[in-house]
Amino acid sequence: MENFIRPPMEIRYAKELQVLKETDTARKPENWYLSPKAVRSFILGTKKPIDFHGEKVEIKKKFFGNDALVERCIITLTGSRGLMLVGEPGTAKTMLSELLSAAISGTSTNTVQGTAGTTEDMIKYSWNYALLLAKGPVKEALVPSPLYVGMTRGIITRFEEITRTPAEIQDSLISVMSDKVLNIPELENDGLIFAKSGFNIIGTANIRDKGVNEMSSALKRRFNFETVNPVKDVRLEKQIILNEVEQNALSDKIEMPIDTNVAELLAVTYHELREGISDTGIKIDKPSAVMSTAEAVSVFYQTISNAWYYDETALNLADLTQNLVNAVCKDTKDDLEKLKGYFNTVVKYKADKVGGIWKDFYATRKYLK
Amino acid sequence: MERFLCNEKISEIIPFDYSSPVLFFPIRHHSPACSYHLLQAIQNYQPDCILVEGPQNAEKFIPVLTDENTVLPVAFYYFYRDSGKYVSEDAEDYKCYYPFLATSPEYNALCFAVRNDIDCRFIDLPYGEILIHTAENKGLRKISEQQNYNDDRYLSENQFFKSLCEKTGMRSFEEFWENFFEIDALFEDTKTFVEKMYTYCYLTRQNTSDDERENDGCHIREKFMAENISKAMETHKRVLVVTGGFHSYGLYQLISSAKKPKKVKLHKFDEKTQNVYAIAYSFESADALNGYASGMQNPYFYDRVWENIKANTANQEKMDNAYKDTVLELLLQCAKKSTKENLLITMADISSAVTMYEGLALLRNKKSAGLYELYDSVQSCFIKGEVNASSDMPLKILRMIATGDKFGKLCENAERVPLITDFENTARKLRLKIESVTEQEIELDIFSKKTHMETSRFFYRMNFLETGFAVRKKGADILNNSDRSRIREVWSYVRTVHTDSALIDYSVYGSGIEEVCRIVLNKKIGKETDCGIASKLYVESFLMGIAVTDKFSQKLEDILINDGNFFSVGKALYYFNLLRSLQKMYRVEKTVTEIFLVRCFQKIMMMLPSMINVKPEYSDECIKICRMLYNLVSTDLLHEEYENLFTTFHTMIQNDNPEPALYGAVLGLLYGSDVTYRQTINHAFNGYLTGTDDKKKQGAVFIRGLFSTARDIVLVGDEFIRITDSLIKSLAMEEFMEVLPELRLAFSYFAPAETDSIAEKVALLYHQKPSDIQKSFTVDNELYLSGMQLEKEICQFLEDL
Repeated sequence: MENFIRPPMEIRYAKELQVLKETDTARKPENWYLSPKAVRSFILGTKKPIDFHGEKVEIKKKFFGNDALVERCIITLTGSRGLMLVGEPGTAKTMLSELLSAAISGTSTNTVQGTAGTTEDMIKYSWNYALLLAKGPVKEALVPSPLYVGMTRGIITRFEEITRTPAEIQDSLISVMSDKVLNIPELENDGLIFAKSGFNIIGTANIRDKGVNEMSSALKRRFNFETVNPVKDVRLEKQIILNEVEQNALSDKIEMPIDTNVAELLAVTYHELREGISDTGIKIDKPSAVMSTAEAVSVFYQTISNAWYYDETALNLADLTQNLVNAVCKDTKDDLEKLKGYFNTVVKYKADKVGGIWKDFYATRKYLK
Repeated sequence: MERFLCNEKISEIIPFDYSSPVLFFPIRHHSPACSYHLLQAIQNYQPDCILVEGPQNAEKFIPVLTDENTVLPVAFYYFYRDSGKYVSEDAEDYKCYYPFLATSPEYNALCFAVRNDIDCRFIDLPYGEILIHTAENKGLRKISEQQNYNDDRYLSENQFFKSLCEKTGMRSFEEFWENFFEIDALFEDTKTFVEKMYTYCYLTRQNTSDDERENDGCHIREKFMAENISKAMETHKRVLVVTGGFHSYGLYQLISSAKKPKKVKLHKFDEKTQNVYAIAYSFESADALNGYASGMQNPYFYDRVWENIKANTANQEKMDNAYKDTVLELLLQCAKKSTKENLLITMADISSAVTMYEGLALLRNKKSAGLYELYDSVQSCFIKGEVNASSDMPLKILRMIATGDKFGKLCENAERVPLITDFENTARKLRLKIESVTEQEIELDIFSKKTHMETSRFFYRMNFLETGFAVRKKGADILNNSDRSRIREVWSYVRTVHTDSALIDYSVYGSGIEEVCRIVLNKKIGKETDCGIASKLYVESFLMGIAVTDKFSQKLEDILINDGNFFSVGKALYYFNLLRSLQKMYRVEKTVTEIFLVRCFQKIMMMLPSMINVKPEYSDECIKICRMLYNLVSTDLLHEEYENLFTTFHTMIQNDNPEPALYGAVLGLLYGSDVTYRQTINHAFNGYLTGTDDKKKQGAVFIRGLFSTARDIVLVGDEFIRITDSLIKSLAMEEFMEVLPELRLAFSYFAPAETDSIAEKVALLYHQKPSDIQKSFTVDNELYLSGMQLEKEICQFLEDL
C-alpha cells in the first residue's frame, strides 16, 4: 500500500471492510461483499467502534453532507437499475462510487473512463488480433472490457464521466442494462454473456463542464439519478478537508501538524465564494472557477507539502494564499478581481472584527496577483 | 434514541395512571398517532370531563365543530383589537387561526365527549390575554407566527431535538417525529406511547429556559389552565386533560403542588375588541409548510394514514398497512398526475420506487416506509437527471398531493359572520362556484348582460376588501389605463381561507359587502390628502358600482382645493376624464364627475405656465397632461377654455430656458391649432442646431417632445428631415451615441407606415432608391421569445438586487 500514490478504496480501508464483513449479520443480496446495512456503515460510519477480536475498530464517516442520498444509492444498487451520480465537479461523486463499489463488490477498480474518444469496444469487448488471426474468434482471443468483467464476475462496473462519451456510444449500454445480456455475435453459440447477480453500473456525470453529451431518454430510463450537491455545512466541509489532508499526508509521510484553524478558514472561504455571500451578509461576486471541497483540500495539501519540503516548521499563510490564487484564477482574469474583492470586503471585515487567523490571512493580500 | 426515550424514571416524574382523578394526555396537533392513542386512553379511562387546550372564548363553537354535518378542515379564527394598548403602544390588531383536521386529537376528543354526553371545555386564556402576557416578538407575537395558535415550536425549534436528529441520522424534526412517534406508535400500547411522549416533551422543556417560557406567555397560560383543571376536579371524578405535550409536566406540577397559584385576572373586552369565529379551512392552509404552522406537515398524507388506522384498528396485526397503503396510494397518484403533466413515468419507474421506499425503510430500521421514504423514492426513480428547478416537477406534484386541496364546510346551523353570509348569498345569486377548491374562470360580457356587470362589480368589491378572491385576467384595466378597448372581462376566482378571514376583519363595518365597501371608501378618503389617490378611490367606487355619498364628494372637493401638486391634480384630471368617457358606455347617469373635471382643469391651468422649467425626469408626465388638456378643450364641456389654453401655451414658449422636451411638445400642440407655428418650430430647432454642444444634444430631446404631439410635421414636405439630418451630421460620433436613445424614442411615436415614408425621404435626400435602404427581415419566433425571456430575467435580476 505504501507505494501507491492513491490506493483504491478496498486497499485504503481494507481493515474496515474486513471487520464489517466478518461482523455482518444482516441480509445481503447475492454476490454482495457486504450487506446494504454494512455498506451504509462503511460509508457513513458507525457511532461506536466495532469490537473485533478484542480490538476496537473505528468505522469512520467517509461521505459527508447527505446521508439519505447514500441510502438511496445503496437501495438503487440492490435493484435492477443502474445508479447515475450527477453534480458539479469536485463534489465527491467519484469517491462515492468507489466507496460503493469497494463495499458492494470488494473492488472499485473495474472502471471505464469516459472520454470523447471512448469507443464501443472499450465498453463491451475487443480482440487480441494476434490470437484472433491465429485461432479465429474464440473466447481466448477476446479482450474483456470492465463491463464484460462486471457481468461475468457479478461485480459493479464504474463508468466515469459517462456524458463525455458520444451519445451513440453511451447507448451501447441500453441492451446490457435492460436484458443483462451482452451479445458477442463473433462467438456464435457461445456469444451470449449473461450477467451474474451482483452486477450493476455506477455512472458519474458532470453537469457544469463543457463538452458533455446529453444522455438519451432510453438510457436515462435504465438509471436512477442522484444529484450530489456541494456540502452546504461549513462544519462538515472543514471536517472533510481535515480528513482528506490527514489521509494524504499519512500516505506521503508528511509529518506536518494539520492546523484545524486553517481548515476552518479554507472551508469558510470556499463556502462564501461559492455562495456569493459571507456569513455576515456581505454580498460578493462568485468566481467562475469551480469552488469545490476537493479544490480546498488540494490548496491545503499543497501548502503543507510546501512547508514540509522547504523545511518550514509550520504552515505559511502566504503560501496558502498563493495556492488559493492558483486554484481560483484558472479560467479568467476576472476571478482574480473577484478574489481581491473578497479579501477587501469579507476578509478585511473579519480581520477587524474576529482577528486571529483572519488578520494574518488579510495580511497576505499582497500575493493576490 | 431509545436510550433517551425509555427513561425509567419518567413514570415517577409524570405518572400516567388510569385510576388517577386527573389524567394528562400529551399531544401534538394533527398527529394521527396521538389521536389513535388518545381514543384508546379515553376508552380505558372513561373520563367524565374532557378539558382541551384552546382559548376559552371559543367554547360556544364546540357544537359546530363536532356537528356531523361539519366537514373538516375548519378553524377557529380569533381576533383581538388592541385599542386599549394593553399589548403595545402601537394599538395593533391581531388575529390567529386554530385549525382542526380529522387527524387532530383535540377534535377527536371533543367529538367523543359531545357524542357521549361528557362535559368538555377549552381551558386556555382567551387570545387577547395571551397576547397581553407575551413579550414583543415572542410566542404568538412573533411576526412569522402571528397567525398560529400552537405550541409545536417548543417541540421542533429546540437544541435538544437538533442534537437528537444528528444522533439518529434524521434530516428534520418532521422525519424524526414520523419515525419515532407516528409509525412506531402503531405497534405500541398507549401507556408506552404516552410515556415516550412525556419523556420527549419533558426533555424539551428542560432545554427551554424559564425566561423563554415566561416571555412566551407559557407560565401564565399554564396557571390559567391549572386553575380550570382544579375547578373541573371539584365537580368531576375523572378529568382528562388534553394539551400540547410541552405543557403536561408544567400542568402536572401546578396541580400536584400544595401551594395554589394566584388567580389569573382577565380583562373585560367586548365582542368588537375580542371575538372568535368558526370558519371553513383548507388542507393547504393547515400545512405547516405554508406558513400557518400548527402541527404536522403534508395534511392529506396523514389524513389518509388516519383513515387507514381507523380501518385497521380492529386488527392490530395489520396496523402497518396504515402507512404501507398510504405510501403506495400517494405514489400512484403522483405517477398518474406526473403522466398527465407529460412526464413519462413508466410501470418500471413505479416498481422501482416501491422497491426503493421499502428498501429504505429496512435500511433505516423503520417499521414501515413513511412520507420521507416516499419523497426519496420519487426523487430517485421519477426524476431523470439533475434535480433542479426545471426537473423537480414530480417532487412538486407529490408535495401538492400530500398537502391536499380539500376545503372544509360548516354545518348549516353554525353561527355565521353576516358579511360571509352576504358573500355566499351574492355568489350563489351570481352562480359562482365558491365551493370549489380549484380556481374557476369566467368570461363576462359586461355591456350586454346585466348579471355579468353585477358579477364584475362583485369581483371589484371583493378585491377592494383585499380578499384575494378574484383576479381579472383579461379586460379593460381602467385604473392603469391599459386594454381599454376590451369590452369583455375574463376573471379567475377561488374562495380561500384568506377570503373568509379578510371578510371577518371587515365585518366590524357592517353586514353587507356593498355597505362595507361604502364605509371603507369613506374611511379611506377621510385620511387622504392627495387628490390623485382620492380620485382613484372615486374610480374604484365606479367600478364597484357603488354610488358615492355626499360626504365622500365633499371630502373629494376639499382635497382638490387643498392639493397644490401639479402632478396629483393631473392624475385626478385623468381619472375624471376617463370616468366621463365611460359613463355612457357603462350606462351610468351623469354625476358630479364633470364638475370635478372642470375644477381640475381650472386648477391645472393656473399651475401650467410655471411647469415649462420642469425637471427633465418629470417632462413626460407634463407632456401627457398638456395633451390631455388639448384634447379636453376640443370637447363640448371645455370648449370655452380653448383660447385660454392656447394663450397659456403661448406664454410657456416665451420662457428663456424651457425644458426642451416640454418646449417641443407645447410647440407641437400650438402647431396643431395653427400651422404658422411651423416657422417658430424651425427657428427653435435651428437654435439648438447652431448652439453649443450641449444645446445640440438638447435638440434631440426637443424633437422627441415635438414628435410626441405633432409627428405630422415630419411627414409634410422634407424640410424637417433636412434639419434633423443636419443635426445628426453636426454631432461627433460620441455625441451622437449619447443622444441616440433620445432619437430612438423620438421616432418611436411614428406608425410603421410613417417610418417607411420617412425612410423614403431620407433615401431621396441621399439620392438613393427607397428599396436600397429598406432592409427588413423576419425575426425568428424562438429568438424573439428567448429575447423576451432574457429581458424578463434581467428585469427580475435587477429587481432582486
